[in-house]
Amino acid sequence: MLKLTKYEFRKNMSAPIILLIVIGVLQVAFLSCIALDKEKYVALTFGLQTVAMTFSYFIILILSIASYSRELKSKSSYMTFMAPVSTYAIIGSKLLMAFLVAVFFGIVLAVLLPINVVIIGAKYDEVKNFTDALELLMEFFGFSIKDLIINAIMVVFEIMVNFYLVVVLAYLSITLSSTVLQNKKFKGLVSAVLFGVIYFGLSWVALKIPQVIENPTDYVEAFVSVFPTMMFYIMCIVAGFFATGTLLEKKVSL
Amino acid sequence: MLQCQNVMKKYGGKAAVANITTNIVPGKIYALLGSNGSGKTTFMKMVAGLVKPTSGTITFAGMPIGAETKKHIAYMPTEGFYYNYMSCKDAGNFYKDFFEDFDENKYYQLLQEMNLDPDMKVSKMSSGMTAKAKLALTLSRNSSIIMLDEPLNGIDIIAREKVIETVLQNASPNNAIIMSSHLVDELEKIIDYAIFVRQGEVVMQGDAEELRTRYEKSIVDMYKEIYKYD
Repeated sequence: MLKLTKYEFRKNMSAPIILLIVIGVLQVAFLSCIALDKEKYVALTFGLQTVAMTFSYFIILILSIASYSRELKSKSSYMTFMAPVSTYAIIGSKLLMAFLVAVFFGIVLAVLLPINVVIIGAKYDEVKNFTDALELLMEFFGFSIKDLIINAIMVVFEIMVNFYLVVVLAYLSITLSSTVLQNKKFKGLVSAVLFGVIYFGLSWVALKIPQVIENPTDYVEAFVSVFPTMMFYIMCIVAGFFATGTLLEKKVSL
Repeated sequence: MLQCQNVMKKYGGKAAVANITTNIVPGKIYALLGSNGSGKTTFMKMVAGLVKPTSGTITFAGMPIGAETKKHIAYMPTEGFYYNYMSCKDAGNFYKDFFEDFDENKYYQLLQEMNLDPDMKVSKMSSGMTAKAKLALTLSRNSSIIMLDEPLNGIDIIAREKVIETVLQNASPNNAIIMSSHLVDELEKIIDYAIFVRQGEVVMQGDAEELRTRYEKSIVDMYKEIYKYD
């Protein structure tokens, strides 16, 4: 699977590289504006970079799905499917590639964002005063750095689970469209509707799962309370992964 | 070695392959003959594991077609099948990574013989160059079954001779080579066994020499006879 992941990366590296260049250019622009004391543009470049980094999540999500869909429709799929590997390894390599790219951009976000905030704080007293006030406010309401870290982990975990749920369900729909629905009219529409129905169906079921702690009082409790829902989603991801692999194994038609 | 029993593949209600039963043994060169849409490519794809049969069985050395049989079956599709970014060198590296039977030295030697630059991107190649690159890649595997789908398509008459020569050099008592082509006269002189497919069914098959003796006709004439109304 790792060998396939290497080729997945090589096939799909253009978009992440472009994204990285955009973030890099904005970082250089941001630092230049700081150095030249262009206050207005500091805010603009900082804002644009934050938006670019946040949107990278959606871009990776869309690219991951589009790349699989494109591959099943193109002759280059022969290359992948002629390799003596299981269909689960093929799907796994695509998911691993998406995960690694998402983690990479997550790290870029986690490193650049606090650094840039500190730089702005050091340069402009107003911002420093604002962050100091924010810290005081946090202390007043009983928040600590530990809470922030737990919250960040919780958010990242939830984002990753949701990311994979969408990707795996999209893979399943695309596979359905290319296998059992291959000769049906409106197969694209049918698979899109199926994706919507399954996704919202699962979300509805998830809402019905009772929370472990009804009214969480801190971040740890909040994390514990959503744990059953996350576990349910993870089970759905695993089931979706095996369903996609099995469909490809039993019904592949390239 | 490769056994196909009542193999059928339907797309919607239409059978691309209606009924193919054949047995491929090592040490022979097979010609899979038929007009456009007769089911040759679909049959090869099923053997390569790219398409699942609707019914019937295909086994290689007793194993159903799957990841394990792909280690022993090499398939050259009619279309270019490289990833967009790939040069011949990249494609060779891919084969080296996945196929234990891939002979890298043989690959580069074949590329040289076919005047192909290993660093040239396949997407920038002419159709003739792509056809030769595909052939070099497939024939560099020392597989038990080598399937070449229309290997002479898009290749000029001089290069055709080179292709035929290369195929003959790769034939051995340990492997079976299956070729499909419309250019039957080019294949006539090298094949050991002919399989005539029409509308997805095997209408005639047998040892090439025996068929010639029995029907007192060349394979080319038999082809013309069978497909004259297609």
